[in-house]
Amino acid sequence: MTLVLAMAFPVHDWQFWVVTLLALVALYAVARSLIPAGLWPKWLGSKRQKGKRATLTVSAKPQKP
Amino acid sequence: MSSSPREFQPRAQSPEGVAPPQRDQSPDGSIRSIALLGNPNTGKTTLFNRLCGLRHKTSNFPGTTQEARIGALKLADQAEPAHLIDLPGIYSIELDQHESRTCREVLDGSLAPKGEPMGVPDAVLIVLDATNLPRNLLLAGEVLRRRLPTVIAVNMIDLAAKRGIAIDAASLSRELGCPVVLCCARRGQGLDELRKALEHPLIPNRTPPGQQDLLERWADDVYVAAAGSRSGPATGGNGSARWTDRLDRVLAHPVLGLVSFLAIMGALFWSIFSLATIPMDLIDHLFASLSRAADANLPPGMLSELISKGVITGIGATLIFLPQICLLFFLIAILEDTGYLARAAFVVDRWLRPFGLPGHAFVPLLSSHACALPGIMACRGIPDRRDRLATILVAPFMTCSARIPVYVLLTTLLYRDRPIMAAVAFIGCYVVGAAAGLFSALIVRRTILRGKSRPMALELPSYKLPSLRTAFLTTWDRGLVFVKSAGTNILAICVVLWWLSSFPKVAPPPESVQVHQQIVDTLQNWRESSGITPEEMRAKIEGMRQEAERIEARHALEESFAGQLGKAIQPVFAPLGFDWRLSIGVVTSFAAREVFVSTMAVTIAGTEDADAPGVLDAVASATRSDGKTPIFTPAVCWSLLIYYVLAMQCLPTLAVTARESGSARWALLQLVWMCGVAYISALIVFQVLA
Repeated sequence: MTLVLAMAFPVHDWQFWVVTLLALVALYAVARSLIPAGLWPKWLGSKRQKGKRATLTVSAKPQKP
Repeated sequence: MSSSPREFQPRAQSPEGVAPPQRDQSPDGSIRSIALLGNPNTGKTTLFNRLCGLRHKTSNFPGTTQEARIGALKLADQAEPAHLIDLPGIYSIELDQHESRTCREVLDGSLAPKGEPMGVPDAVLIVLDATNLPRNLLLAGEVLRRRLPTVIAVNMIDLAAKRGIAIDAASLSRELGCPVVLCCARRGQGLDELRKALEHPLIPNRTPPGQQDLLERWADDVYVAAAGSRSGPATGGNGSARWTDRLDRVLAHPVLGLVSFLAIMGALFWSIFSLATIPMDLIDHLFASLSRAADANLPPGMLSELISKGVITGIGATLIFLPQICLLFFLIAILEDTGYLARAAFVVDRWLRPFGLPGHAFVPLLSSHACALPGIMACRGIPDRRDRLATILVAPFMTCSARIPVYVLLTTLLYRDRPIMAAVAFIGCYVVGAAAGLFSALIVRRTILRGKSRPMALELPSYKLPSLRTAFLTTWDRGLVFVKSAGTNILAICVVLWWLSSFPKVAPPPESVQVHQQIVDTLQNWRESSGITPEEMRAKIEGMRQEAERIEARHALEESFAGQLGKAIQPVFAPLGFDWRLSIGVVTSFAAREVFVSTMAVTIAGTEDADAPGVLDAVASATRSDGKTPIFTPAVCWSLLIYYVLAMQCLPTLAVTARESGSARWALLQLVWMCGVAYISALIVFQVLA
C-alpha cells in the first residue's frame, strides 16, 4: 500500500512538494475569486472587496440595490 | 490661488433667490472634485480621457445604470490632482431616471463613488455640443441654478464651424454668467484654456429660470445672443447634416437598415478573422517556442513540466486570441464613434418590441456583448419591473467577450484556411445567441412576466469621423482586462488542472510495454544487410519511441484525478458527442468560459502529436482514448459551439442576477433554462450531424 502510494505521489521528490504547494495556492486563489464574500469561510482569511468597486452610499448610508 | 470660489464678474447681477449649496471646502481652497456633466453624445468621455490621460480608473456606481469614471486631473498650483467624475449623459437633471438621479446626488454631495462621501463637488464642468446648443443649454440652465462653481466647455467646435455655426465665447460667457471655453476634445484643441479655467472655477452670477417654458425661452435667447450669427459658406455649411440625412435614409431604413446592419457586421467579423491571422500565428509560435525552450533548459522534473505544459501552454492558448479580441473592440469603438451604433440600436429596436422587450433593453443587451455583468446592472435603468426582469433573464444569451476564444477556437477548427466561412460561423454564433435571447424573452413575457413593453426614444447623433485615440483607449482597456484575466484566474486554473492531470502517477500500460519490447526486438534483429540504412533505422526507432510516450501520456492522463473526474461526468455529456476531456473543459469553464481553451491545451499537451507546431495544431489533431478517432469532428465542434452559445456558464453572472432581481430563484431559473436549452440544442445538432 505504502509502495503504491509512494509511486502514485512521489513524496521523496522535493519538486512534488513545490508543485503541490503551488497548486494549493492556485486553488485558494480560484476559490477566493469565485466564492461570494458572504459564503467565504472566515477561517480562510477575510475576503477584501476589489478597490475599484464601491458601495453606493447616499448621505453616508449604504444603499441596498 | 483663490482661497474660495468667487462669483463671476463680467456682468454684475444678483442671483434670483437660489442659494448656493453648502460645500465642505478644502482648507487650502484647492479643487478636490469636479463633476463632468452634459447631454449624451457631447464628447464628455473624449474630453475626460484627454484631460486625465491614461490614468483614469473605472468605477461602478452601484445603484446606477451606467458606468461612471473617476479620473485624476492635474491642475497647476495643486500638489494633489483633482478627481474628475465623468457622469452619465442626461437630458435633464430633474428626470426620474437613474442617470439623472445619480447626477443630482453627485451635485448634492450625497453620492459616494469612491466608497466614502466626497461632498458637494468643488466645481462643475458642463460640456455642451456646439452643433446642438439650444437643447444643450437646457441642462446647463438647470445646473447653473444650483450655483456651484462652474466652467462651461463648448465641445465639437470644429463640426459647428463646418456647419457654419459661429459661437462667440465672450457673449456666451456673459449670458451664462460663468467662464466658457471653446474646445474640440477629439483634436485636443482648447484643453489648456479649459484646465486654466478649472483651476479657478467661478460661481455663476446669473440664475436661469426654473419653469420649463421660461427655461426654453431663456435657452433660445442665450443661443441667439451667442451663436445667432452664422458664418461660412451658405451653400456648403450644412454639408454634414445633409450627409447625415442621406446616410440615414439607408442606414435607418426598416429594410435597408437591417441589410446594412448585417453587411457591416459581416465585414467587421471577416476583418477580425483575416487581419488577426498573422499576429495569432506569431503568438502561437512564440508560446510553442517558449514551451520547448523551458523543456530544453530547465532541469527535468515536475517543476519544468508544470512550467512548460501547465503555465506556458495554458496561458498561450488563451492569449493567442488577444489580437482578435483587440480588433473586435477597436472596430466596435470606431463604429460607435462614427454614430452608426445609435442607428443600429434604432434598427434593432423594431425587432425587439415584438418579443416583449422594451426599447430600454437595447443598451443592457449591447453592454452584455462585452460582459453580462455590466449588462445586467444596466437593467436598473428599465423603469418597469417585468421589463427589467425579462431583460436580466435573457442578457447572458448575448455573446460576451469570454465566449470569443471558444468561438474562435471552434470556428477555426471547423474552417481552417477559410476565413470567410469562419466569419460566417462566428456571426452565426452571435445571431443564434441573440435569437435565443429574443425567443426566451417572448416565452417569459407570455407566461410568468405578462405585459406590454415600453417604446424607446433615442437621439441619433450626427455622423462624424471616428477618433482613433478613443478607439485605441477602449481597445487598450479591454485588452488589458483580457490579459489580466489570463495572468490571474486562468493561470491559477491551469496550475490546478495540471496538478490534477499529473497525479496520481501510474505504471505504464501493457500497450506501451509492448512497443518498448518491439523496439528492443527491432534493434536486435536489425542487420545492415537487411537493406535498412542506420538513418532509416534511427527514424523508425524514434517514431516507435514517440508512439510509446504518447500511449503512456494518454494512459497517465486517463488515470489521473482529472481523467477520473472527466470520466465520471462524461456520461452526462456523451449524448452531445463530448469525450471526457471536453466534459472537463465544460465543467472548468463554469469559472470563466475562456478557461475551456486553456483546459484543452493543458489536457492535450504532451499526449498528442509532438510534431504539431503550435497549440491550435495540437488541439486540432487531438484524439480520443482509442488514439485514432479525432475529438474535434465537425459534429462535435458544432455541438460544442451551440452549447457554448446558449449555456449559462458563468458563476459571477448568476450571483449578479440573484442580486439584481432580488431573489436567487431568478438566477436558478436562468441557470436551468439556459443550460437546458443549450443541452437540448447541442444534442439535436450532434445527433443530426453525426
